[in-house]
Amino acid sequence: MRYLQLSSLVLLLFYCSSFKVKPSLPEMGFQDEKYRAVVDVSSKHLSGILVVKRIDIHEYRVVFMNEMGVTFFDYSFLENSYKVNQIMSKLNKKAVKQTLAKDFGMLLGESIFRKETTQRQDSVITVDLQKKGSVEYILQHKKVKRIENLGKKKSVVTILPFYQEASLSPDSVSIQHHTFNFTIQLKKFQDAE
Amino acid sequence: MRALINFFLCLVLSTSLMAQTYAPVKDLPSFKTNFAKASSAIQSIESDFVQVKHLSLLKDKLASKGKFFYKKENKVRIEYTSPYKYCMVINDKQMTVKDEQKTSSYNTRSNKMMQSINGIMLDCMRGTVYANKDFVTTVFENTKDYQLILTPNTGMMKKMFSKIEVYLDKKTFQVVRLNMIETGGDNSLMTFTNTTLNKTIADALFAIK
Repeated sequence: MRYLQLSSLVLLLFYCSSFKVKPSLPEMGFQDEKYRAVVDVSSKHLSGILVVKRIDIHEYRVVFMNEMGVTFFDYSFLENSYKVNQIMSKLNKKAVKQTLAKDFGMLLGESIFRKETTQRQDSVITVDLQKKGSVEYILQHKKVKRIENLGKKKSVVTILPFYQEASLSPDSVSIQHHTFNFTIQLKKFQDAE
Repeated sequence: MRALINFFLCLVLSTSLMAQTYAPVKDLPSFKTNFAKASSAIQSIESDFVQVKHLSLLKDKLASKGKFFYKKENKVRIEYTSPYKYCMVINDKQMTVKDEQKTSSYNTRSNKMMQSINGIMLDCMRGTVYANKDFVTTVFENTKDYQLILTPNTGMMKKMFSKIEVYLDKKTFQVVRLNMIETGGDNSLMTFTNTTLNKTIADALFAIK
């Protein structure tokens, strides 16, 4: 009996040592946040409100509307796919929808990745996109400091989330495209009520 | 005794429900005349507003508040003060928007959406909403309010809004609530309070630089 106990313990230890913990994408901390959003695309300037809500462990909802409450777009981000629930006709173009999905998918760490390719080296987590390219999450003090979308040779999108010391979710976010003139800036705010 | 209480409860409930339910307006021509008459006497409006956007699928709401100004014939200023700063000014055919970073101007003639929004704001203030070709308007009433239901009939407005409800105070014909219902099911309700009529409002308020 004693021998049996000992051997199962040895087996268990052996099993644990051979079991590698797969790296996962970092947790950005979004739960239910509201951001003041400013979008500059080419020469056009647009402002509004962006709502990010966590529905489930791997499910988020992102809604962007203007100050008067008219919805520009409404996305659901699931673990391996996304869904456009609503989008204003002017934005309803394949390239626009994919760009928005990639930007917010990167920020949320969901929907657009081949998660099995996730690798971690020190403070950099790398993952391939379902479409071409990859994404790097650069960590500092256990929080994401920078997100880079890497193309063939260089970065095509840089996302800079900024956390105040006590914040669980980003207080501000800057999304900058390098291949064309397109930036999104987000700044958290509290409700008026 | 219990039956009696139930009877009175039903009575009270049904009357309060009746007060909220809107029926088609009985005398439409006289409503139109009175609305136009009341509106023509208005030189300016200053009022506070609260706006609540209901996100139907998220079961969430977003509240903001600010000040509203109107000056005859075609000047409107909607200024959000909390929880963010945002200002929209319509001055004749020019529309200017100022957010926390930038001021942008649009000629409402060249922008169909802005033109529509501009039009509906002014039409509600001036009592000329029937002449607005972008919408089909039907009028309902209860004991307190008139309810104007504006159904869009042009392409873009139709894609955005399923209807816009405008509530007018029955005595003053003032806009008390404005409810914009989107095709996706969300809605934005603006409620106007502390309304002051015909106070002098400086033209400078309608020029953002």
